[in-house]
Amino acid sequence: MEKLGGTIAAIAIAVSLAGVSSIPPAAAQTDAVTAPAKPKITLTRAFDGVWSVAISTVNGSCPASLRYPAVISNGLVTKADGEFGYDISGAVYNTGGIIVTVSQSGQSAIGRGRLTRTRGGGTWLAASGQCSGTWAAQRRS
Amino acid sequence: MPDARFWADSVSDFNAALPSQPGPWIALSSGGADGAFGAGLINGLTESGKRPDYSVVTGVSTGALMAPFVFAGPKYDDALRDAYTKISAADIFEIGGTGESFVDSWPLKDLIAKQITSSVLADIAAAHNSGRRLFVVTTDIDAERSVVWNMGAIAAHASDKTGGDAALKLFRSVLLASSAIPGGFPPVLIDVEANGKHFQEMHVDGGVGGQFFVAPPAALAATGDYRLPATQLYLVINSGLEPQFQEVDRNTASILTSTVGAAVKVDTRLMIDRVYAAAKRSDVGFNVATIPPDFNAPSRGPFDPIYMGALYQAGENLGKSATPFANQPPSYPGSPMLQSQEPDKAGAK
Repeated sequence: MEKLGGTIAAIAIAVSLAGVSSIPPAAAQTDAVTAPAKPKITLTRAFDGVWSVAISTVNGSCPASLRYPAVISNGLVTKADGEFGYDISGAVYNTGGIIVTVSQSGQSAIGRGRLTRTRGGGTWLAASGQCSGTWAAQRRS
Repeated sequence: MPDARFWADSVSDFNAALPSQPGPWIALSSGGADGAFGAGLINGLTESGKRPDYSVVTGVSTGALMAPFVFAGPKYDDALRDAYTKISAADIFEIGGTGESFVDSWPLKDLIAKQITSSVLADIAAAHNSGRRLFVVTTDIDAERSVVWNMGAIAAHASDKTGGDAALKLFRSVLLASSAIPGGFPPVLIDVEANGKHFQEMHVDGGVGGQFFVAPPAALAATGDYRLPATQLYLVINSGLEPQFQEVDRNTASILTSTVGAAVKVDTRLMIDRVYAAAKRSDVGFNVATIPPDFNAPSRGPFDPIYMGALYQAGENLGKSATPFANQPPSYPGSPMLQSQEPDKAGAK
């Protein structure tokens, strides 16, 4: 019934598309009169620390819920030291938008979301398209 | 807290900790997410007016997590229901090894802290002071012995001006330890003092010493003459006892989980038989409830809220039924192998 090592609950927290799509063309950035420059999207260290991400499956037969630890360092997301069985990679931007791919047992998923200083949340979609759901993150240190 | 615990194999300490008068006892078994069955059953008993004030409540593993609510009475039925229907795996563990286990149980520790408050302990202490008893079992793996924690006595210390916080912390730690499946969840280190020295004991799941607790093994021995000082004995078995055919994934976690699950079923049946014999010898009414064999809701991984909700409902329906408990142990399976399970037809050489 309960298989910790079963089907992946691989989740990704992806780019905040709103943030990414707002990056202006290079030419427009030089024209301060007709098109004021919009905030530049960069990686940020504001969210650096240890986080825990709770993942819930809304659609599909993936595990109903799982929780993964993650570390954000210099704006890059990695799995916690010493952990095993899964991989996490991604990045956090100064808009709070975050992209993280979590994969396990050859499967992965993609999603999107946003962080505040201590919390975060969003949606995810398995790369196979078979499952989707939501995620919620909390900062632990 | 000298009255906080005793070795589970000590008949004399067990006798000393019991209520002064016989009454109905209830033992709540291990079972993980399947504790939803017991939670539903208990609440169903309340709804049908068939729930006595148990004079002794014992809990092991998930049974330990529900035991405080069962002991404290129907006032906590909503809390008991929510504890098994409004949680998911993310509330229990975090994936990733700790060096001592496959997963980290800090979410469960936090959940216990939210559920077990000073107010809950005050109600448990009041019940304890009225003469009832709440026992939770852990396993001291340094000593290779089971420990029975007198949770009512611990709760009674929570109102102390000095040491109250320590009592609350100990109460919560015991619950976490009792459900710490070795290798799966990290062990719980409990601060103790002996002969003037402070040190830490390593405790793990109480299920290591048996899936539920009624009395010390010597008191249940087939060759013994110990008489259980109870009027009725109720066993709530938070698992199904029938073998379930399911292909096991070829990874360490799945193989371990399936193996332990199979062993637990065998152990539970043997214990039920042993307790049945002791109850008959003691002229004590025997009652046992297990997950109905026809319950087959699918589960999407561990602690699936939908699965647990369905199992809670099955337990509640049973609790409200005319016969929530059987009066003898469930029969052993003996049906012929299905064709697909026959080794020769499955390609075994």
